[in-house]
Amino acid sequence: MTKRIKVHEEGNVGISFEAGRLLTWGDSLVKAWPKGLENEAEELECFGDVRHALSIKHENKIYVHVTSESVDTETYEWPSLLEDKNYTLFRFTCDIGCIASLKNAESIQAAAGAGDFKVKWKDLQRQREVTLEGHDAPILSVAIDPRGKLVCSSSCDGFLKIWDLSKAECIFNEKLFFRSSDIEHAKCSAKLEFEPRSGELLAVLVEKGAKIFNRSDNTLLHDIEEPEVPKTLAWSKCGSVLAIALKTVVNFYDTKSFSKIHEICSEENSPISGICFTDKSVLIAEKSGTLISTPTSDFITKEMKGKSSSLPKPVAKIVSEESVAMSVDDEESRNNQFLDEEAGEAGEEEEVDDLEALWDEDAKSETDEKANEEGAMEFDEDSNNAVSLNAVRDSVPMDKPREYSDGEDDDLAGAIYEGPQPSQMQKAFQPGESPNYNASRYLCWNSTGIIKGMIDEQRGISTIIIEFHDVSVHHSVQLANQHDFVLGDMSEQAIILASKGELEGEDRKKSIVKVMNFKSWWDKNREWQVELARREIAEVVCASTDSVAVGTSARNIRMFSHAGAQIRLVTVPGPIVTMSSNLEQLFYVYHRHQGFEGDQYMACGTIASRRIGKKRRTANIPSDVAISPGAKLAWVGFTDEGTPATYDTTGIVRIVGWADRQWFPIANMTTIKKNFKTVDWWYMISINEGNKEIAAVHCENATYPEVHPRPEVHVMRINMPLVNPKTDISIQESELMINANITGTIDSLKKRGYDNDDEMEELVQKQITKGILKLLLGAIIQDADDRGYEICKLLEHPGQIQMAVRLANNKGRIKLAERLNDLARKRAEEDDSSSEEEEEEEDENEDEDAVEEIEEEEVVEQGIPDEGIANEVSQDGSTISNVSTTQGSTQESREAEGDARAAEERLARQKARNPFAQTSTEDDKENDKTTLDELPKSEAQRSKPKTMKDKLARFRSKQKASGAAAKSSKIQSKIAFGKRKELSTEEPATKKLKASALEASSDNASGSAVSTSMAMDDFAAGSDSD
Amino acid sequence: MATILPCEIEFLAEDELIKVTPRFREARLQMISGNYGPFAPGVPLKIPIWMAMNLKSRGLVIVHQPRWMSAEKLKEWLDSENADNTNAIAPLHYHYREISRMILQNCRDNLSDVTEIEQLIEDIWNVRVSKLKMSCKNVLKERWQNEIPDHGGVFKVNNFTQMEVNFIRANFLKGLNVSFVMSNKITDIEQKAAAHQLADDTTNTSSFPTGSSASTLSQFTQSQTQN
Repeated sequence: MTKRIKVHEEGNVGISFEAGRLLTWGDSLVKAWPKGLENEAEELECFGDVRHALSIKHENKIYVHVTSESVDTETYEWPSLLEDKNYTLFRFTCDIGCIASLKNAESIQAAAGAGDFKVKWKDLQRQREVTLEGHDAPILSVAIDPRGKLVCSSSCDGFLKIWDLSKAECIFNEKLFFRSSDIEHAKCSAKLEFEPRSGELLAVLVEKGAKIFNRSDNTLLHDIEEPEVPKTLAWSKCGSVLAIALKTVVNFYDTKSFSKIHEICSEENSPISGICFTDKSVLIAEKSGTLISTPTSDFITKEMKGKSSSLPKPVAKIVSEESVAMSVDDEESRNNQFLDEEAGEAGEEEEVDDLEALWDEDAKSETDEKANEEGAMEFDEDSNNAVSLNAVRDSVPMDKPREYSDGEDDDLAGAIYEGPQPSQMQKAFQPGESPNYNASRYLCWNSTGIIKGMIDEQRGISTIIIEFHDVSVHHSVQLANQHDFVLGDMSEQAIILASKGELEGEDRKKSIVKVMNFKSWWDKNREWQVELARREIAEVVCASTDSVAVGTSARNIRMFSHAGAQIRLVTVPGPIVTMSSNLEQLFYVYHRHQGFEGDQYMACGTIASRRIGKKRRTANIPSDVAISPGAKLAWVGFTDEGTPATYDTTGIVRIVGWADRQWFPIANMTTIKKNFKTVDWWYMISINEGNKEIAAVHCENATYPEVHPRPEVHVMRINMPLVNPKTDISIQESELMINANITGTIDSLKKRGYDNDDEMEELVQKQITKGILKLLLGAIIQDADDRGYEICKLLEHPGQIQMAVRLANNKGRIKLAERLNDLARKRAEEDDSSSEEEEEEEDENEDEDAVEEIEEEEVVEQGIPDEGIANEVSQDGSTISNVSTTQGSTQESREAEGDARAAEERLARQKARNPFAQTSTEDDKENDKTTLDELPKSEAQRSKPKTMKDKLARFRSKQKASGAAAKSSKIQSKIAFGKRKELSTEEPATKKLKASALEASSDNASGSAVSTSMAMDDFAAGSDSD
Repeated sequence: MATILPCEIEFLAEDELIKVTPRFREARLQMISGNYGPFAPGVPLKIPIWMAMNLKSRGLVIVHQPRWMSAEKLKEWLDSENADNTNAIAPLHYHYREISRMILQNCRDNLSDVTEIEQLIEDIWNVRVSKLKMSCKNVLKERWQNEIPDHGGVFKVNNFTQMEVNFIRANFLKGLNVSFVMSNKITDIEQKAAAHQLADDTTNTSSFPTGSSASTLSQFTQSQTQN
């Protein structure tokens, strides 16, 4: 008696039936049918298309897990379908394609596969989760073996893999399907299902029908051929019948002989979208939204069941006969324990011919009847747990129906090795590539340009597009990808492309390496191509300024010159992970040996291409790669300055610290911007140490950027993961560390035979000094003078320390200033060479600005009591205004174009102003000196109380002794003014004078500023020679 | 009745900034409207649209799709536009029509969902302009129904962009003017008629009792309102 019931609107309708809990879904609607198909259903509107839904009983609650187009499973309670937001079964970085569950005597397990190529398996009772990685494309289907030992998965890459859960490794791998780029494009759903009773057989849906594998030795047992691509398959609960759904027909096969025994057609040729066996009937879902229910007794005979009882485990109870309500009497369907009553009737119906099973069945029905009387919902679940009736997934027979308890799990636990688990070793990857299952992908994205691979699947055309960031380097290139190139790298001189080839398989393609040496303008032949040996396939490639290199599966790094001469051959001590290059340096990472507990143990090294007539040594870098616990490398490369850098999957960016050959983290990409979510990822492009910037692409909800349209590159400030990273002091500290490292980079370049970049060096030195002064100020503000002193010890030149002295004096830290003075004297004794005078002077110029800037606020507040000083102050004021303008503009430009340009600009500006200074303020300049030297003194004498005067005199004598008298006297004069203001605020003349001073300052703002600073320099020079 | 031409509005819109990734190296450019740059290959920055279009035509920049110009956001906008029959929704960008036209015309290769966006922009434009027309119609209708309201009728232009308002301005102002002229004439006539009637009434009052004259006056005003 076939029944047809409309349950959904038209669409991809799915069904799942487990232990009497029937779920159907179509489009974004899930329905739960607690009382059978003829009664009311609970409905649930989901977000996006529902891919699968299943019910699991766990911790005395029944949950419904729904996977839709989101990264995690959504959990609802049965049968109310109210959301339980606190419970998520699985979470992936990509949408989940499939999910399976299993409940047997030992455990409750669930497995799911997602678009991020990962399969996750979970033991719900023991909270053990295993991630199975190895597929190269989104997962199509997963199945758990009824014995709970194996997980089987199929993927868009065309492979079927069987995983051993105890070792979390793949034990069987075979290509069965056509490759496709995504779940939507897969020709066949590649559905997998274990034979539900014994798990002895595995049915796999392929394009031409179905394949049945034998569990014990993973051999192909039978091949069922179908005339068209099948849609889905299902095993009957007794394991004796396999149903395969074609477009409009479901064929039923006997699993002993694999002969066709029955077929059911859909109504009006509506396509079939799902099949599911309950115990007494089979449910077929059509795309029209209709469910067809047909009793299995139409085609499953007793003989077949009898035959199928020859199973490895003694099976006590074959099947608890039950069915959905529509195939049961009204009486039963009224009751929400309809299934149990069904089970109770099973014995009478004599569908079970095994005596023992009958006994069990009777025993069970008794308990069930009790349960019915009590009306307890849990008993329904428990009495049925002998057969987990999930239509999609499988179940295992049990000896007796029994309650679950945690104690039972111990049996299984003994079998599994519980020691440290070896972690999966990361495969070779190309920095900046996106996965090759995508139709269009990036082969390479670096600071030179982009290599894109595009496959037009409809026309079967594969092309490679090479774009340069700077069109002046070379125009864009587009070439037909005949050799299936999947690896690529580019420098400003050459492009290298390579195909992976195959080590095994029928074709056994060789790896082909193609190089485009586009800078050789005089040679007609700018391209060359080589084939690697058959036993060696290319895994990574890399192009540097004067060579190209290929890392191979034979652990060789083959270096070619741009024109194709083989110049080096190096064998790396382990499997190569990745390579990157900068200038002539090649940086490679390899696995040193097996890591454990998710950790990788990787080492690295550098090779320099040898060129005649030039000394090129390899950079000295640490031998091991530092990596976060459990992380993998996501990117490897060089900073713009030439320091090796890594980026791992926890989002930490590290660079080599040259001083002690250690790795140190410079940024945490997960916190670099506020709107970063856990499923997002930064795709690294480049790092600039000088500007303290990182360029990366924000991939929302993905690990790789889209190819079209080209995503936008974000340039962000480095955030070193220091303690309290957001405070100003931490920012200064991190900059100081990075700046210090740049000097190391410059040293390393020098050692490797590159010319000195003096400008760069100077600039870095200036930045360091500035950073130290800022830190000193920070320490002073926080009353941590000792910390300030410690920081100032980092300053090398006595002249620089003088800046610190001034700052300390300025802030009234007399003791600190004294100690710093001592320090300066010591330093001066240590290096009495005055060869670097000039440089220092410049430094001081800068520093002076910094100091002045800091002083700004105070000066503005000062009241000026005397005309004599008005002049001086006016200069001060103008200096400040000048400083602030230059400072402002430099900051702007610094953000944008880097320090070199800023410094140039600044110098140019100063030069431009110099003539002014010379012509208009010759006198001022003279005044300056007098002001600095004498005015403060006279001022102090004239209007100060005696104690103050004495103090000042004492200071001055000290300063003079240390050689910084001139400069500090100016500061002291300011201090004096400040003090005097306190003493005599009510002088009426003050305001007028101040006004006039301001006028004066605006008149010769530009001129006096420069003159002041020049005067200061003179003094500084003089003091240093002392 | 002078109006601004659409191309002139587009000219104004060209001053809006847009994010581009340059493919050349150039120092900071000093323009009247401000300084732009420095340009470094691969480092995105914001420049005015007119500059972007010029550079794009020479293949020197990659223009990034503005955030508001995504099919998703435009769809949302269209939906909310459709939901409200009378009032316009605040536009995603004040120059959405002009900017989208320029970008869609010149930078098709840098965008995604080009055809969809084109269609959506067109739809949004149509919906909004029809709302505007409706509003105009209502103003004119109101004028006729309620004679001449003191405030001259309410014309809602909230949330409409320059392009849209300009699109309707010429015709609407003309219509409004005509309506004013006509209503002025009508009031003139009415006033004259009223004055005439009043004159009659005053002459009548001398001969008839006052009570009846008041009633006739009220009768007259009633008939006038019915007209």
